[in-house]
Amino acid sequence: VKARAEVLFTGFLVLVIVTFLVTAIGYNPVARRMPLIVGVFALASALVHLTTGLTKTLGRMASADQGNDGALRWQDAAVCLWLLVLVVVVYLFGVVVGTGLLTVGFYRFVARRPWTGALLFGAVVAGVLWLTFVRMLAVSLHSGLLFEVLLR
Amino acid sequence: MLEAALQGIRLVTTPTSLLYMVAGVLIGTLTGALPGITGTITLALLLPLCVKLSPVPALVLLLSAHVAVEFGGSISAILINVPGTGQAVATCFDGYPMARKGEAARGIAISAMAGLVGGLLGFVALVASIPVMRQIIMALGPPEFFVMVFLALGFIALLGEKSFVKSLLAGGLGLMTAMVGLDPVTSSPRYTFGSLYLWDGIDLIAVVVGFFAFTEMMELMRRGVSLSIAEDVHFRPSLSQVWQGVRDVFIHWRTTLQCSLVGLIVGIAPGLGGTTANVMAYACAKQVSRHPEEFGRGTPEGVIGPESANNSKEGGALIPTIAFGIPGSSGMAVLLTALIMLGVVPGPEMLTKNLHITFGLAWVLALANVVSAAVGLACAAGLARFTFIPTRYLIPVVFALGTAGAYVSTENVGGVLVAAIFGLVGYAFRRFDYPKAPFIIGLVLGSAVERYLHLAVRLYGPLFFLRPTSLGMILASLGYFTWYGMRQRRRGVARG
Repeated sequence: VKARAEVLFTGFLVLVIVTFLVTAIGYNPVARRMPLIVGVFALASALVHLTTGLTKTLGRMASADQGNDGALRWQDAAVCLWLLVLVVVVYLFGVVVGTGLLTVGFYRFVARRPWTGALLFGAVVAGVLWLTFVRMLAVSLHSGLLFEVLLR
Repeated sequence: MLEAALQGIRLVTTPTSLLYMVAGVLIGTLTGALPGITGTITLALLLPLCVKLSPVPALVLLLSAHVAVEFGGSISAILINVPGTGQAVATCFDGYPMARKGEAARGIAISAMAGLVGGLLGFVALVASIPVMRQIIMALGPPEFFVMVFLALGFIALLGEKSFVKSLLAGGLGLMTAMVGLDPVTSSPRYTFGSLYLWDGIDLIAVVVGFFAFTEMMELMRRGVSLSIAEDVHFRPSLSQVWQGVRDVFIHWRTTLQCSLVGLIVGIAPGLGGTTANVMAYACAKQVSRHPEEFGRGTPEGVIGPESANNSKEGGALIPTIAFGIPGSSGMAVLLTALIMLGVVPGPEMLTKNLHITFGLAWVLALANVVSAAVGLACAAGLARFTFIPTRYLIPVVFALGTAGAYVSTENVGGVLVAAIFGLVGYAFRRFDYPKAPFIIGLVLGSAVERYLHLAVRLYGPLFFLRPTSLGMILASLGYFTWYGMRQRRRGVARG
């Protein structure tokens, strides 16, 4: 299963590189010089890897060695989803509140700890971020789309 | 040169710089001791904080943390048999058996002292190489630098621990990512897809945060286990053991020197990496020992070898990073990112106009090793507790710091999106066993390579690589690649 997934990933990379090369052709001769060199170099490597990967995968499929890591794929999907949730929450609630909320969520639902500890830990993380970046380094962190709308 | 050396030491010994050095050493030691937090992650999380600092304190903080991570990694390797960083793998082999014998304090003291001796030797090598490097660099032009970067990526791919083709592909993807933004010659936008945010290119800090910090935390989440598996090692600090550990390093001075030399050479060679230095030094220590049969049972030489190599490697690795702007590892690539971000451009100028900064970095390397050893010897007991921090605290904190860090450098929420995207890419790299170092090195070097290419074409035409020096470099490298390939093949055949 992993070998097949790797072939799919390499196939995706080949698509990205081809798109990169096709887009480069549209640029002026000076601007496309380096992208073309790099793109051809990457495409050659990707195709070699894809070919060897395909050969191996076909060999394994013939020997019916399928493995049973379906649960593993769910775990992969869950951690990838976590990153997407992070982006959405930070975009909506801002960096300080958003990361605080994610900390609460992680501590309560992933680590399966009590609500009180989760809320306390979330508040501490958000507080440390605010103190370090906003107070000490004077950075204006993103306040979040929802808060901006509410303030208007 | 002497004046630059004095100017360099003046830069890094101001009270502010010393304060940042101590802070960097403490942060590096603590994060190094945490299993799962590598040196590159530490630098990735510190990088955004440096955006708001002036160049000298920022570089002092980063380099000190980078140096101290080596020692921190050995603490968890010795106490719980889990290397805090990849560079402490071989330290486990004899460090942990020492702890099981009740000699943990001795092992940690050996690690601190051997690291200090190795680090100081790395410093001497770095300073001694400056005049030589200056001569070499003056003889090279844009064509040679362009060729050198491609050859360096080739070496990294060939000598790395992962597949050669995957390494080349990762390097190519890194270079491709560096092409996003305005073209340096015509200023026309490339791969920006109408987004103004991408006109300045992909933000390096956000990429580093996503690619290293987010990826590692995702992996910890997936495995769903705490890395800090405390076994029956009870750490009781004892002054006599600490003193014995310090003496061990000097009793086995031959091992210390030989393994430091191994680390130095591995550090200079691009692509071999810290783990290779650590393991090669362990093998070297075993080979030169009078009692090789004691290895694996908690012999001091088994800790001296890897730890002295770990720290001497940093001096060696700084030589190509500073002189040619070519980092040999992902950690050095992040340091290079910091140098560029702070307005210090590595390359020929670092050995001429900015020689005092080069000396400053060399001094930081030496002083940070001294501070790290002092902290290690004095606070080993306290530091040991950090290896037992559960991942349920670690993961959200790293995500929170990383998110803020990805936002800070451009003050745009796009940075968080970039970090998340490269977190996913890094996760795929990890799952499918792609090496990360070539990608990040390609990304960091991308703009410099393009600059050299345009200059070379303008000065010597499209056949610039046929100039004698460039052609010589290409032929010598091809010769080495062929020899290495044939040797590997012969070994494979011999193993059957």
